[in-house]
Amino acid sequence: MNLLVPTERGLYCPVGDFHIDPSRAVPRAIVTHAHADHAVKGCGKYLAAPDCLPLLRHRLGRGIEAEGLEYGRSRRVRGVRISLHPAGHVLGSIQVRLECRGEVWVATGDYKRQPDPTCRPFEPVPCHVLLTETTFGLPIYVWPEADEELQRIESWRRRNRERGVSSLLLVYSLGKAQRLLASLAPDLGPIHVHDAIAGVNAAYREAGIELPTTAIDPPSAGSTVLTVPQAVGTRWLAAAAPYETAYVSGWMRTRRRRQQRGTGRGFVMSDHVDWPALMRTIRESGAERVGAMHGSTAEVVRFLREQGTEAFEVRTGRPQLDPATIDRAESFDESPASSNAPAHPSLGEADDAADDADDGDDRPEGV
Amino acid sequence: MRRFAALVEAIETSAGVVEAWTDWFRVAGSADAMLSIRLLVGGGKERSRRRLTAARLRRLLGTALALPEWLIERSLGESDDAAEGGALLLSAMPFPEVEAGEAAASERTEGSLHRRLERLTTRLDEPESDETDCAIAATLRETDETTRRVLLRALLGTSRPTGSMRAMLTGLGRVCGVPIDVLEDRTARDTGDDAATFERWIAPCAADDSIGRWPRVPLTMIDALPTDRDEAWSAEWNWVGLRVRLVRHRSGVRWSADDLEPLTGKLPEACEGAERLAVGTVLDGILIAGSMAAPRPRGDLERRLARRRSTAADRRAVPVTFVAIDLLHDGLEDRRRETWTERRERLEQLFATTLADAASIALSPAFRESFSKLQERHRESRRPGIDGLVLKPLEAPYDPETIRWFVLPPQPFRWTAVLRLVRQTGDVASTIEGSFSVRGVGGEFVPFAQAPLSFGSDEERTEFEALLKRTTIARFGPVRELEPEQVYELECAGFEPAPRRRSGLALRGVRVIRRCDERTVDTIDSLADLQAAWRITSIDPT
Repeated sequence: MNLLVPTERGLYCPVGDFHIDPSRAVPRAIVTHAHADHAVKGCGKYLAAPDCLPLLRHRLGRGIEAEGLEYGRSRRVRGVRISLHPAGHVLGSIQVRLECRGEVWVATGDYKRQPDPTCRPFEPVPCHVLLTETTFGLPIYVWPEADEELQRIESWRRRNRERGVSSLLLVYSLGKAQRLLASLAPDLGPIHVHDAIAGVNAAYREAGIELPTTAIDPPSAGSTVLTVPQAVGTRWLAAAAPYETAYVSGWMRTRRRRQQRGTGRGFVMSDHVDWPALMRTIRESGAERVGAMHGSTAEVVRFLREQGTEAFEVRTGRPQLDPATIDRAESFDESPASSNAPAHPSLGEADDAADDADDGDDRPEGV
Repeated sequence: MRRFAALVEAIETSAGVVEAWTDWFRVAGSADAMLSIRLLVGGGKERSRRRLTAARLRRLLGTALALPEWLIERSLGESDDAAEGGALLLSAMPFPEVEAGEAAASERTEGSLHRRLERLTTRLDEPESDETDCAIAATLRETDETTRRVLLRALLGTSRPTGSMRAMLTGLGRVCGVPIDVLEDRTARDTGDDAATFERWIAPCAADDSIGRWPRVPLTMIDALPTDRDEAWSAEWNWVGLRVRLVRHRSGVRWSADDLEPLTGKLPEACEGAERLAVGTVLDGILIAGSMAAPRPRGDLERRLARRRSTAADRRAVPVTFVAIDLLHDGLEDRRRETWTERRERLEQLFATTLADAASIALSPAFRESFSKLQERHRESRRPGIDGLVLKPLEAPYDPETIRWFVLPPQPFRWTAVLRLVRQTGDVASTIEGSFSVRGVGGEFVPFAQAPLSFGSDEERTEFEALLKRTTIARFGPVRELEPEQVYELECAGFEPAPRRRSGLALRGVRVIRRCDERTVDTIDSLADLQAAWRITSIDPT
């Protein structure tokens, strides 16, 4: 039974009739986190972790119909029991656990296993089938200890400050910026953030995450600036001159990528899983089948197969399988045609109150 | 090792390099210090030999990491540098367990660089086996990623000695207290690769250390020459070549370029005559390819000097000439405080006597003429091998504090071309690069030069950007192809033949003069015009 199938609109659950991280507007979407490649505008209903909702509303608009489901609590949607588990990627990032007829599938979304002060840590979820992200699915990608890299950033900031040079840290506006902001030493002067980051910071604070206060005046020489790469060269940053720039990303691991970015420096800090943690996650999940999504899928699949694990590539966003052709009757005995459910039920309308009672015991036996 | 890693990172990011060298020299032993210099700055007698092939590296990593070779190869492909890829891959390997106590742990993590390299080379000389591979990987894994990368480069024979010799010497001087000019001299003369050589470099100064030391005298660029002192100047051709010093040392003739790249052994023909100079003599000059009468392109000289040792065939293919332009030491007598007139007189005497029949050493001709006559020389100063005039005050000593040698570049070429391509990044403060074309034989546009566009004000730039948007035909990332309608006047300092280019010519010192709104694209210069101009300037100076 395929609980999740890749379609041109993203991962689709034919039994529950919903998508996970759709790439286009769909009636019902479970969103693993608020990054733009996972949360699209225009969906009828959204289901996400409660702390993801402020970010979703910030990104997609206040008017969206979004609902939160507490971590670890389960909900039945047309015969599929859904629960959300922390992924440690950014604030509100989740893994989606689906259970139907005793089979458990987990879609990890993006995740990392390094500590992050701004979000819940990743929790391994045992399952039969694991759909994991493999953005950095090569053994060359091994992250340095977060503290070690942070020290390198601090010594770079300190040296720049001594020379009267500003430190421009180029980061993603959602996640990396807040992780850094929460970790940077406050004694090296004010930290300025770009407007795109300031908006996300407000959403983080709304979700209850404490972030240090950032300076609101334009940056001056010798200050630290967290900014999105697109802002480099703008008039706003001209006030910070002279400055040195450094990208903060997992892609900074290799010189070739650093050169492609064209910045003087790169710090290796990623919100994705590295190779050792990827292998550990697969091992800890106990999965019999592993699907690889994003990045080095072919390499991870080939490697796992050689190791004796059944593995397959999951390619979403391409026309592979039309949901209309899926034989729902075969996979789901409570199909919309035969149930009393509304024609377009929300992800919350199919709640099964009885299922909520056994939240803590929703793991399949033997997994 | 932490300080060594910090040094490598400082060199790679060009930040705090001197301080990093200083920190490193404070803790490194002589052998480690010398090895680090050879790996990061280069020089020495032995070029790094390849002891590890890429295929062996893949096998070794596969065995040590228990990963299939195809995955190792794919991972190495993610980086464009096998040494970096190997260093990063080894991070996935568990840190080797420490066998005995903290001292052993410290030795394994902080142990000396040269001993580690020796251990690796010894292991690599052993027959290949899984055990050897794991031992090599474990030795590498003990170090941090940066050191590992440097060690792997040394083993793969792909060391990138991009560090500045000057920064290294400054750091070394701070630690050992030896003046930098003495260190420069010693490192140029004594080119060993061992700890003993390093210890000789940092030994306290001896009495004869002044022999062969020379000040660095920059050739200052100016745009104008005072016209009221024409009688006080002497002029020479500004030879296109490599500025070098010839030092007659006790042990033979030594050469040193501004970047202190060792040249000794590469110029045997020029050494022949110089052997007759008195010990201690130092000449300043320009190394050129060919002869003064028939100079050859600088590229020929660079190709010749790129060879580690020059063979007879090399010498026949690209003969070199040392063109003397000044005398610093006459035997053991320091003449740097004397006037240019006196030094030149003594230089001419040397060439009339000692160096009279030195085939590969020549004296640069000097013209002590009226200013109007010099202007005429200046007009003749764009020739192959010559790039303007150098003007020297007759009374000037050879002293960096007071001397002013003026380089009078030749009159630039000017022509008109049409702007066809523009490269503009999102950074508004960044330079906008333009590619300019002239008319080809069939009337087609031939790319001819690239130059940055500059603007006098924000308004001017805004206006230009609006023009760009209006005339863009196609975009290729940051590059825009434009309608051929904007005509510009450009100038350049000179041409060089460049067969790979569509125009057949490469330009030096191109810059945009102005946008010619009054001209249309039909009036721009043609390739034939420019090629004709180049041929005019390519006449034989003899």
